Amino acid sequence: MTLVVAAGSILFIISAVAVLLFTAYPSIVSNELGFFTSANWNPSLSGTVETVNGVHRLTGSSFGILVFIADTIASSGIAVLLAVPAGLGVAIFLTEIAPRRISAPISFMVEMLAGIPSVVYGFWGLLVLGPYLFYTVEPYLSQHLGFIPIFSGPISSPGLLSAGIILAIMIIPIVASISQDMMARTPKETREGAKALGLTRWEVTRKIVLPYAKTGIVGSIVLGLGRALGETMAVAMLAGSGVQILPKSLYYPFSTIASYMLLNLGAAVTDPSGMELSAIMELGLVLLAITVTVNIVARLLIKQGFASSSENAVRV
Amino acid sequence: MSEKQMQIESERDAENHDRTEGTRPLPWNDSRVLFRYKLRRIVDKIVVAVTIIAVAIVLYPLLDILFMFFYRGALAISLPRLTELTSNLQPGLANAIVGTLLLVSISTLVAVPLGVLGGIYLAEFSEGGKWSRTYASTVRFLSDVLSGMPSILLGYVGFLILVIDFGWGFSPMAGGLILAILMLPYVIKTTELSIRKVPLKLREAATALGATRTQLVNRMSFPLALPGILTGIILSISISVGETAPLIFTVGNSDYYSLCLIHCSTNFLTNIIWYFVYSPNSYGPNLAYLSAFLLISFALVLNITARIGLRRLSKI
Amino acid sequence: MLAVYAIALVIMGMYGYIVTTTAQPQYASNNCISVVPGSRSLPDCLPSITLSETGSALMYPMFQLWASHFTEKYPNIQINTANTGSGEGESFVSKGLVQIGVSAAYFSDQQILANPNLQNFLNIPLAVTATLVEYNVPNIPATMHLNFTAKVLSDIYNTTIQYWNDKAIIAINPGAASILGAENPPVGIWPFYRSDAAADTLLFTQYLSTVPDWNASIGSGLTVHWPSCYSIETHTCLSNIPQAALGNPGIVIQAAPIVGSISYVSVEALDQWILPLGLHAGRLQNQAGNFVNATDGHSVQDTLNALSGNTPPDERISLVNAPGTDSYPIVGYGYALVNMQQLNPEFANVIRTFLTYCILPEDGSSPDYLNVYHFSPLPGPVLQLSLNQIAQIGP
Repeated sequence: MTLVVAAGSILFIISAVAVLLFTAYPSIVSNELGFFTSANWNPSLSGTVETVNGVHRLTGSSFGILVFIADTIASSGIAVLLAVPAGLGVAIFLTEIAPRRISAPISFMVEMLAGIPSVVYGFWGLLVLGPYLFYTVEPYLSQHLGFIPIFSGPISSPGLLSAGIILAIMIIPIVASISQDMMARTPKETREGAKALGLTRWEVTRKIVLPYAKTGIVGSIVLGLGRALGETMAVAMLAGSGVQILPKSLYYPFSTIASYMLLNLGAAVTDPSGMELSAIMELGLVLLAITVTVNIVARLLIKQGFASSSENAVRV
Repeated sequence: MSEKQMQIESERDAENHDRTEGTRPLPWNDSRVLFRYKLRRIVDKIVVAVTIIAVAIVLYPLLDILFMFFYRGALAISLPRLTELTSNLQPGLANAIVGTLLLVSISTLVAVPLGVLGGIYLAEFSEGGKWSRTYASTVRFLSDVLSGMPSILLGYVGFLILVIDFGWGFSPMAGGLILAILMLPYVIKTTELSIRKVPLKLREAATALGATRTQLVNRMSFPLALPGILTGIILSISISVGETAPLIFTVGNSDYYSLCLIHCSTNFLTNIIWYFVYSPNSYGPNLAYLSAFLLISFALVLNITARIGLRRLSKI
Repeated sequence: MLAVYAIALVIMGMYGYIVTTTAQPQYASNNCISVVPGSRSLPDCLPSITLSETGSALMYPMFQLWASHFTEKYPNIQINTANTGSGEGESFVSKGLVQIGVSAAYFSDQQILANPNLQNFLNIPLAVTATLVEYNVPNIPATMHLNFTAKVLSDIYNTTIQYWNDKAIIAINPGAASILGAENPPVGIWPFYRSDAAADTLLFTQYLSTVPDWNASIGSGLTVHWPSCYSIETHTCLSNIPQAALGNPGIVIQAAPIVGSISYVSVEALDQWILPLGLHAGRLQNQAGNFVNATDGHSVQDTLNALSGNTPPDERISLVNAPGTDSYPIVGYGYALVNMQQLNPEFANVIRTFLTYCILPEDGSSPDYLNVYHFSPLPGPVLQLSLNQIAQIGP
């Protein structure tokens, strides 16, 4: 009986993917490879229905998701870029530097960050982070670093910078706690031996702990990346909703795949030919493929980090 | 070596001691070594400072979020707010709270039996032949995939299948089912983990006493694993409390109570925050603060309990 | 630990029980006389029904007001209102997920062709709305309203005009020439549009479509393909391509702090969002060539006088760019999209009553309600047409 029940999870995911595939089929057939290489997403809702190769679509419509992919990668990239030093710094602090009395509550608090719902993050971002960036940070950056193209541009409150920062805040607990676990597994003898040889704490960390834990740490970063790629609510609130804009500037509103899907399902259903709905489903499949791959890679890395960390060479 | 030779050598050493040129000085006299040592100490101190800064940067948003929403939420607490409906003139959160509880109950009722039984299967009954082991690893793999799936995709699937095709309309049943699917991987994983933690000796003892596999599970493994299983359930409940994206498409919105299952929509706490951001004239800021306050408290309490429990679980 | 959770669970259950049972509405008896279809009188009581409405952001505050007063009159009726945008309003009502979908766009012939089911839907105007163009230009006094023509606006939105001191803008704003011309460095124009499927976008782009170039390239609709850096070949693409903003009043909130921004929003946001945030509404050029303000007191009325007589029985007509000396050019009906076939007679009865309530001048369309959001009531003949359509809701 439990066997049948265990089939439940298989059933759900297979049916979910099947539904997505089925609905996306017209778009897959009609848009083919241009879907992935074109940067022009134009549902052309004012066009008329025509039939091209047996598939209904609207005149003048073209669906290219390059912009969404670029924006998603840009925002997640910024998030990872910001989260890795912070998360590793926290992990190093907690394992190497802080005494037990301090590290336990701080570790606790960092894990609390993971428990806050993402809408609340988005809400806080709009109330606090957005205005702070808009009035303080972005003018400063744009003035002093404006010669670098990515820091120039019109200042806007929803934008790549604010979404990237909020995503970073959301994935720091993942990076920090898993890295901390990995780093805590270095054998005491090696660490103590290094200390006995006179290495400072930082050198112990750098030469012994980090190499030991590096597979797991990389796994945690990839897991955080997977989380950032799929995050919907906070990004929808903080990224604005710009479309057709490759990320040229840190401040411009943009849409990730997830936030676009959230905000445009209603409009997509108004397409009388059904092509926009199909295209959004195909977009969702792309997101699914990306996040599933990233998650699997992350879990493999973490599992490997747990298992074979003793094989990582230790050099003094 | 004879005594005489040793004496000569020590005299030579003494001479070498006095000579300052052409000899390598001892480490505690060598200014270069001393300098490098001081440098290493300084670098170590800088690193400590940097990690402390990292911790401060990471903890600041957490504390800001907590303080801001607790403060403003506490200010917004009033009896009408907690007991009135969100409809128009004097809005309150009552139906949103009831809606969240309803959704969480439905999802728990669906996910717990499926997940626990599935986890029991994976832990106890899957050791058999090759077929059952492949089946089990497929289930585990797909369960991992499911946990990494962006929730908005499940929301889309729920919208297409449950809301439209099944004809349920916006309903708590549809939302609850989708939440259950989201919860499932966590319940399965923690159930399997906690049953596996039951010591082998006890298992062998029970089998030696003649227990069948079912009896083993029912009378022994399960009760012993119960704390861990409950921890997993609590963790998954905390995740489902904070979910918004899938619910927006499957539950819709409502200003009244609905304790029904299909063909009626209900309001839920995360929806209040999302709508306040998206349409600021729907609900006042006070409702949004209070809703965030309730959400954070609820999610945090559950999350912390679960993580403490999980920590204890994995350390056995 | 388990005990704590059990107690918490029990408390939550009690809370839910107490709260839901003590707040039940008083159910009137179900022996309610149903309203005669097409009449203007409202019944004394109604069967207990829950209605759901969703859709247009610009009609949403009005619906909130109507729903709250309607449910005061009939306490056993529950009406859910939601603000999800016109596109979702149309799509949800066509799938039967809500009973009333609100949109400033009626179902077009095209849509009906593709989805024949839409022939069963009535497009019932409930009120008349207007769309404003607001801007944030420094040093323009509040009493001065900048003028805009459709050509200038279409050039702004396809970034041909990039600065506020452009010749074309100064040409139609001689009074502001000194202020605009003195900008140094020149203030860039940052146009905003609604990213969700919006009634305001439809009305605004219909106005822009009076310019042949715009009509040929971008056209009109609830959402359109706004110019981006990939579609402009005629001049360098600076960063001031139109930016998306989400929601109404989201567009005002987002555009307000940006110096040089220009955006469009419905007139209902004037008092609540536009003025408090420091934006100013502009004057638009109508078909007769005059620049009019939406809140002049009679500009919207002039449009209605000119065009509403042409309203066909199914009331699908665009009111944009009306003739008339003082007509305001961006005006539209706010439609309720309703299925002619409801689930049962009770549903039909309640929907008919509610819609009738909304448009009757002594009830929902009284000046007390409409003036709060600067809506205009339906003209007499159109009111009768709407009542005729409402009468068709069955069974």
